[in-house]
Amino acid sequence: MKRSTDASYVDLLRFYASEAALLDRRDLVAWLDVFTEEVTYRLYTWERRQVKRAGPGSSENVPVLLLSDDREFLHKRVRRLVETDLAHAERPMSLTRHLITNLRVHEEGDSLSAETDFVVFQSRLQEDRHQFYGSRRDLLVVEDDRIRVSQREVFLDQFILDRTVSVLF
Amino acid sequence: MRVVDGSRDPSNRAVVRPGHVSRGIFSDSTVFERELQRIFGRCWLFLGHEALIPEPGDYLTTYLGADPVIVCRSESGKVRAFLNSCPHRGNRVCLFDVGNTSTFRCSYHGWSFDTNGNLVGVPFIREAYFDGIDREGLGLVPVPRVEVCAGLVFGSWAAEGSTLEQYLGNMAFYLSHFLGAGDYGGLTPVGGRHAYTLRANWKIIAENNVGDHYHTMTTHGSVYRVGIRAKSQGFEGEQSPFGPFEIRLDNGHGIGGIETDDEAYERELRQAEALGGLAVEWVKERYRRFGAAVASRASRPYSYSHATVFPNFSFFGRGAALNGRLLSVLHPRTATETEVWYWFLMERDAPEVVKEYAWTKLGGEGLLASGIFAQDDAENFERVTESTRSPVAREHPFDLSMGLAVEEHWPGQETWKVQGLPGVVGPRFSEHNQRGFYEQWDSMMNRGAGTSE
Repeated sequence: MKRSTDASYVDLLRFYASEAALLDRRDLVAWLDVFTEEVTYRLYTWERRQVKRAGPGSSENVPVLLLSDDREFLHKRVRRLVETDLAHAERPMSLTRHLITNLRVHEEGDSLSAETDFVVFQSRLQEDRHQFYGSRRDLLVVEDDRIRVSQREVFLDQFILDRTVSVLF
Repeated sequence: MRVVDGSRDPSNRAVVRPGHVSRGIFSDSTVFERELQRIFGRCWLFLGHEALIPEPGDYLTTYLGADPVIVCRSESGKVRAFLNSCPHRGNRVCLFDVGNTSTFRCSYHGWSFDTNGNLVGVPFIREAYFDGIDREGLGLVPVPRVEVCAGLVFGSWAAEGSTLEQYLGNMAFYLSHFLGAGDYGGLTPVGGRHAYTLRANWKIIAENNVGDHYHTMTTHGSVYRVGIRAKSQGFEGEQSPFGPFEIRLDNGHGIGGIETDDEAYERELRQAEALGGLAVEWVKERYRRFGAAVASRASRPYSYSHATVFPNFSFFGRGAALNGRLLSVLHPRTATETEVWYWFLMERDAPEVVKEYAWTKLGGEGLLASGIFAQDDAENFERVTESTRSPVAREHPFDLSMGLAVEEHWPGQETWKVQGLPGVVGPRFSEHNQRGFYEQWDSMMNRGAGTSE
């Protein structure tokens, strides 16, 4: 694995920090632009699976696909939030705070990918303590000096989710 | 089992007067404790679908009411269920969601149990239990009755009482017709189990699933507004609000979204065109098989959209060509907390493109945790439950009187194509299914003290 240059690492730090700010500021139309037209956006939770009867490696936490959106559907998600007052899960709007950390960058030939870990706090209704935590795996492209995400996989580190998911990752 | 005699206590009544349901039953912890005995200790509850545990040794873990259980297919092929608790000191003997095994071994003192729940291994048995051990009495506590209907495995903690068939009554027809899927290769699971917690009483969710179409255009209005679902998908204006839709069934069960004419098939054919030739072929072929299956019936139920088997098993999906079957159980954790579990299954004979399409809709727009339907429903359920906690609010029962005065005499009902459809068939906007649900709840909570079901 080639070592990424410091400039590239710093560019990605900057990229992810400003993406988090877009989400927490609710600038969702701008957030959508972080993704390419061909993007798939996937969310996973986990299942505890006994994969063989005995011995080492007999248990595994296996990802369970929760959703797989294309750009068009992501766009509709955003439109529902910004163009209607019918998105009751976000009316009034939640407070969110996305903490993004542990950036790891991988370059292999032409392909650039990055992993980040996150904690997202959400305040809503009677409870100010909702939390989501996990990791993201992105495939990235650089177009005209702009970094964009061409594939995102979000792994929510929970077996039973704390509540339904109206936050974006 | 200690029986709590609360039958004279008005706080254990749902229906305080016709069409009005008490708020207190949705957050009172004493009522909840009584439910654990009177409802979850007696009813037939959902354990899982057979297709989730196809091979000997396959198992899943879940709850039967509030009790954690292992549901496994024994080495002989029979499905059994056991309390997931070592009889020695109570440790969970199985910590996984799914798997395959020949024995369950407790991590504390090493007692092992086979897939029939028998105690088959006790470490140092000669040294520790030289004076004897009651091996037969120290197996895993079995769920005394486990029965299957249309591939759905149900269990009851009550050793005696109605059979599953008697308990289901006329719901059994719909389970077989929509979930049996025998004409389409049976059902096969797609993906793993999904679960999220809601700060809501289980009954608020179960009653919505049993017969609430009325909320759809408001709660889920954004879905139509941004074109995630088109109006051509059968909501709003295209069918008469007085058309047949919600069906109240025996024993508190209910189903809704019933479509009995060819409009549903035509709609699916149009949608399939966007998916390509294989999808179109499947919709047509499936319709042919459907036609053969209902040839002797007076009316032809092509699809449904939501249903609840009392008390807490619901299923969704529109039971038709381009939709899967979403099975859901509402595990009661506390009076104000419910774990909502889902499994998604598809008709085995459907082509991949259709299976994928059905799944994507579910994850994106539907009832899985980040589905748009789920998010907005959750808001209502949590806020409603919250509203039942405070003293003044509790003095004002909920209104469930929609259509009460015209029940079974709905305008236009003589024109509905529902001959031979089991149950009390009502219109799209009605609360008769919900009323049936609470009447059953009242009956089970307040039957004479000390009697078993």
